[in-house]
Amino acid sequence: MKRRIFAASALSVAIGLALAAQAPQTLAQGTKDEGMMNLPPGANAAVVKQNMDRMMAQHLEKCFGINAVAKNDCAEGAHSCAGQATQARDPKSFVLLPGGDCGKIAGGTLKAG
Amino acid sequence: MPTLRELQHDIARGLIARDAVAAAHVVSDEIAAAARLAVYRNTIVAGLITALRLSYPAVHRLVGAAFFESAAQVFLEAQPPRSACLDDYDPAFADFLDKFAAAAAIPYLAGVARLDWAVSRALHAPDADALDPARLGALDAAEQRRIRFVPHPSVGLVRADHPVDAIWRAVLAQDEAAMAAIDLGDGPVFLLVQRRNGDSEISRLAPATWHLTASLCAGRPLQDAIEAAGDVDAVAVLATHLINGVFTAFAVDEAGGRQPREISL
Repeated sequence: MKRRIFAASALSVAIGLALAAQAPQTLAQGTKDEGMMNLPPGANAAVVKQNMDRMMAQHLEKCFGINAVAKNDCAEGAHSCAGQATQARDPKSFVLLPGGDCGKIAGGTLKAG
Repeated sequence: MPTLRELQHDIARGLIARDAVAAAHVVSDEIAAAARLAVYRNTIVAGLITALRLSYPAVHRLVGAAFFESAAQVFLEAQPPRSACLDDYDPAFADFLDKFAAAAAIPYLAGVARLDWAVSRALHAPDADALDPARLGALDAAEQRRIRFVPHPSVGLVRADHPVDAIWRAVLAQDEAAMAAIDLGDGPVFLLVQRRNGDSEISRLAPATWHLTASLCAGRPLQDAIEAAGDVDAVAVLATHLINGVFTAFAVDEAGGRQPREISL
């Protein structure tokens, strides 16, 4: 029964914290109010702040090498000449050895599987 | 005369499977029918390999262009696209790599592929406004226990046995020192991928936090999700996700029923 109460109160407290974070200017005042008195053990603004700091540190993760342009735009391969270039790729001459950066990963291996 | 459907089927099969059935439908005139079809086949293959390369950039870096193209060709002949949209091609590539004997020497490759796909999906997902926490304030305790959240379309969850997030970053940044410093034993990792402010964001979560997040994103009622997650600070998880816009909407089932009472968009 305790857990059933906790699920609802957890959301209530989380809503309060989220709203407080939306309005930083009221947070300092809010933390002194009774709102924080209702926090279950282990749940406090510091934990949320830690999570936020961690998220912010990783914020604006650059997606190196990713072309977010729709692939149907397909500048490459749209022309039949580009297609012809792949004709030399014989399925029988399969490359068995990965030749990229996997060999630079510690513990990586360059042996064919 | 074949029906249009038969003709389309034969051509599609002939282009992907390289058999002669399609050539029978093509007129030879100076250029042989098979040679004409080869132009289409090569264009399609090049387009599909390019689509896979754009969706799986870290895998491409890890194995190199030659191996990637060979593996992609084996994959696309076995699993050609089902959708006309090449952005959807193809989440099954990670599973393929997982079982691909030639890639068995790289045990983390499928995990990196899953992260590649999650990032690609995050980048291409439609925009959606985050759920305003104030909208949840009107719910009573019983409704809060039954609440189901709807995740932002860009949210993806990846679990991998190896530190694929560190590998992904090091490889795409071409940071050889970071590559050398990777400890393959630093796993498993539990990752949350999300687009925020136009960029993908990859966060490592604690296992229990990840499981709770996965349950909530799957639409499981809050009470059930928390009970299944075990020892986890549900308040911190919920508050962090609300602040970060992980959810866009919610629904509350009627008590004992299955119909959502309210959907907030």
